[in-house]
Amino acid sequence: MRERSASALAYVLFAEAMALPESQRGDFLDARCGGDTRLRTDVHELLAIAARDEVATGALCGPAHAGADEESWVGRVIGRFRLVERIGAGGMGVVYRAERIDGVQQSVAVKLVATSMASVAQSRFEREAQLLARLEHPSIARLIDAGVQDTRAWIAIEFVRGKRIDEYCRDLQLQPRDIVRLLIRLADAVAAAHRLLVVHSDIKPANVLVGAEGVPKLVDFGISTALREADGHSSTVNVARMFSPNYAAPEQINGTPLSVATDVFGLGALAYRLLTGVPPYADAQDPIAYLLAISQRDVELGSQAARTAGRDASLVRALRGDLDAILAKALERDPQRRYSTATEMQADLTRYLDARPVHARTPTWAYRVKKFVSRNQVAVGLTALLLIAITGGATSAALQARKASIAQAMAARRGEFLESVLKSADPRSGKRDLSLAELLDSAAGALDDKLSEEPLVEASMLGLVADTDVGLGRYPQALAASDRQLMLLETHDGGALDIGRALTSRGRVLREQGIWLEDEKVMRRAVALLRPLNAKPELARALFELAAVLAHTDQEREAESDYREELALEAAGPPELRAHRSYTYYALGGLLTNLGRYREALQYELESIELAKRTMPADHQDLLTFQAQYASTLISSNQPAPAEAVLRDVIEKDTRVSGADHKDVLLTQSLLADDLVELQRYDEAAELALKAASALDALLGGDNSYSLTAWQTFAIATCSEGDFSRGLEVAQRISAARVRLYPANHRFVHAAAAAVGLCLYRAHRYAEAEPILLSAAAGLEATRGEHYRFTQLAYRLLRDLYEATGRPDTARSYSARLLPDAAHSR
Amino acid sequence: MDDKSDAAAVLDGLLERWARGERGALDALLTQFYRDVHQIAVSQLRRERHSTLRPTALVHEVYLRLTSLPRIKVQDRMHFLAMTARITRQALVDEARKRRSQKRDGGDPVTLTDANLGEFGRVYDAVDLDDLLGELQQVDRLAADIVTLRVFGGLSVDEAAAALGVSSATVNRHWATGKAWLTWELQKP
Repeated sequence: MRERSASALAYVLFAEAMALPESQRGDFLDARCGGDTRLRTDVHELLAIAARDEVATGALCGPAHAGADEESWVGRVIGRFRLVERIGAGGMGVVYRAERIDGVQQSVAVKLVATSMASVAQSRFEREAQLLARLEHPSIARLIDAGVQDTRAWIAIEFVRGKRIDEYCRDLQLQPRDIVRLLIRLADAVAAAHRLLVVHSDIKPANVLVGAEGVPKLVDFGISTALREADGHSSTVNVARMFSPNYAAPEQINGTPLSVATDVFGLGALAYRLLTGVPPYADAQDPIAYLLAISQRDVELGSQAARTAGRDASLVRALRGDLDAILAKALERDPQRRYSTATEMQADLTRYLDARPVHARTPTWAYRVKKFVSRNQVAVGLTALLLIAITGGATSAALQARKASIAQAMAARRGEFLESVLKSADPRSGKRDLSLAELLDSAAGALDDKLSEEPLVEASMLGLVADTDVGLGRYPQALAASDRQLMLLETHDGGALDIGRALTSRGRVLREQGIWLEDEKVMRRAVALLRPLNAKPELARALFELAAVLAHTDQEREAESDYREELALEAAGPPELRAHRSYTYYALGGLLTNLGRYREALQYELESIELAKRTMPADHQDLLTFQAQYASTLISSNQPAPAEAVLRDVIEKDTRVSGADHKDVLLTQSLLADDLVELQRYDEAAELALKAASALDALLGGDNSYSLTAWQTFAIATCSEGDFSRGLEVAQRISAARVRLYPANHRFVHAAAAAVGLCLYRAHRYAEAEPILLSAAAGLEATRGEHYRFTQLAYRLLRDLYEATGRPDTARSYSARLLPDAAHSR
Repeated sequence: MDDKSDAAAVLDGLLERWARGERGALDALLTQFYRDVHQIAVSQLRRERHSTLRPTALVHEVYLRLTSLPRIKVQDRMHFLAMTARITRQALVDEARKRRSQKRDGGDPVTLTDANLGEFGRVYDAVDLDDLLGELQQVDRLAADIVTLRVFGGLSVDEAAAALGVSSATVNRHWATGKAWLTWELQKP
């Protein structure tokens, strides 16, 4: 035992020492090990092993590019090929045309990349190549062989004689229908690759060649990935990738893992370019402009872009409608909203050719195509950082000083700084590829060095870094950046508005992490700072955050007044702020429902729906959420009949938009099952609850609150229906899970106990049911009040139980506590 | 409907949902998958004379199996690799422990070799490695996770970074310390 903990201690000291420069390690160990020579020896041994590894890794990843470009390998033999001529060079290496040396007539393109691969990387490289070799499709340039030779990793690919697809389309003046035929073949090729788990992630005109027979071929499929393996630092997201303007998908910029949807975007961008003659976001020609564009707005409709570019009116007409819709769906910024596979996109393109209705034009899409409403859930990550920095969204500190020139200077300084950070990450400048996270780390480090003379600029940059970290889910880093930001703002008189904003952002991070105590303090301060200022949007946002904390920490009354204040601010504000009221009404409605003030709650919830209907399409996810909550409040307040119609409508719309087994749909079904229990349609309720519960289990894993609720409804419906043993078993399982997962006095624990009590009562096991129901009733009453639905259920069961066991007086006392409409239902 | 086609249908449905981006389906999917991985491990062990496995080769086989499933539309290779690595570790070690308990003298241990860890060609006892990873997890959870992904899944540094949502620099740091510590522990007499 002592042995083990000594080993753990050695590890901790070793890890700390590794973070120090070598020169300081001796002193560090002197200080930390004291006289424990054994410990010191252990750490020394660990450091020695690590140093040995470092040498080995250094050799693996060392600079291997040098000279690769200058040196001509023409005439040399690689594998079974002789290099004939150099046909190109890119970031990844040099490409040669090569011929077989064994007399077989076959031309290949051989790509060489310098490497000093150790056997590890080599085997990965070969595995990658093996996978690619299985990729056979008439529209994919086939990988023929691969290997490592003389410090070079090489890949031989089918040699395609042809033209770049954009030039081909232009030279032959192809019509949209011909272009769509080419695209269908390419989509088919991409789908074939996806079935082998290979994502191209760099589909653009330069990577598609059309041969003499008019067959388009994708080159470089997955090859860059394989070669990066060979290069010793494989990476899916790197800065070089991020800066491939006009064809990169937002997720390639945000640093989220790439997927099939990334290639759908690439196909969409390629299609856009070929059909309209201009690439998506054509006005954004440099990388930074592209990042800004894609984070700010959806792509322009294809037909509009074609018109702006001065294309023929007949082309513009041909694009309008179906093709516009297909391009828009493929180029959705949110990957989840794109065609989910290349096959789906292919199918829609085929439907277009056959003049059948395309799926991209379902009602959901119609409004997007028409209006292109901005959606704010997409732009997070680096985009936010760039966006705000360059457009000067956070210049308030200077504006407050009423010196527009300073504001301009600050915006300019931020722009310069960002560019320098981004440039320093450019692999072509000699550094190795950086992921977005590393980029952020380096940005945070560089801030101090470069901007220490300009604390307010540094502070606003730190705010951006923090927001970006939040977007990437890097909460500790976000908090660290926000700490420093606040410190700078406060020591350099940053102004109440900026401090208030910074605090509000911090509050959001804390809320995401559920750190309520500090969140409350932070938000109270933010509100106190912002209230005296005439800054309505900022104060409204701060109040929303504060109210959210209060609602979570059982301070509902205060939360209510904050929401009301927010509503007043919003009502007097500009249109965007007024539109936000639908969310505030919704939040307030939820709060009042929890307080048992159903009538008011219903009023606000209706208000939120009415407002939302004015600004959102009928099947907008948020609107559906508002409606589902309204129905839930109807159920809570014993109005199950109107709730059913609302729920069925929500389910129908949501299924169309999100698919039958989307979480939201399942949750609404679970709610509907609940409603059916209230309507005493137990058969239907049990069936629906079972379906929803099983699907939620599969979707979210067991033990999550959503499936537990659905199972509980199933148990109640089943017991009410008469199948006591099955229902009781489920109810007991749910009750045990609630006890395990929630604090002892949580209403979920009591509600689950009430369900167990119900099953026992129905099974005429009165003696067992009584104590459980009594305790559940007391708990529910204490946590949620007498009017709460489950409190009422417990009262009703107790009344029935005492009537059944011949104790009419006690029964009457519970009868008296029942609400009028609840008294009769059973 | 017989059991087999039933299970296939479940798997199929889960795959489809996962491919559509429902991450929650993955857990359920991989539970189904565990048996499969275990089966492959056992049959490989039977084939190999010395009961020494290369976990990455195992993962590779799993990979190929998955792609041969009819309706696979796998979206997220990285995530899949990461999960497979964890499952592989579990399946291998479960098998190794079973073998250990069946033979009281501890004969026929399952051993691993991986170029990612320590010297090339060295062979490690699967149970020992698992125990040590458990200990490492107590002091440096991230390091243990990274070692699992790299050794049992063959993930590169950057892939592990993407799978764990941390920077490559972080992975490098914890990989260096975690690996050194394991090497040190495994070297101990």
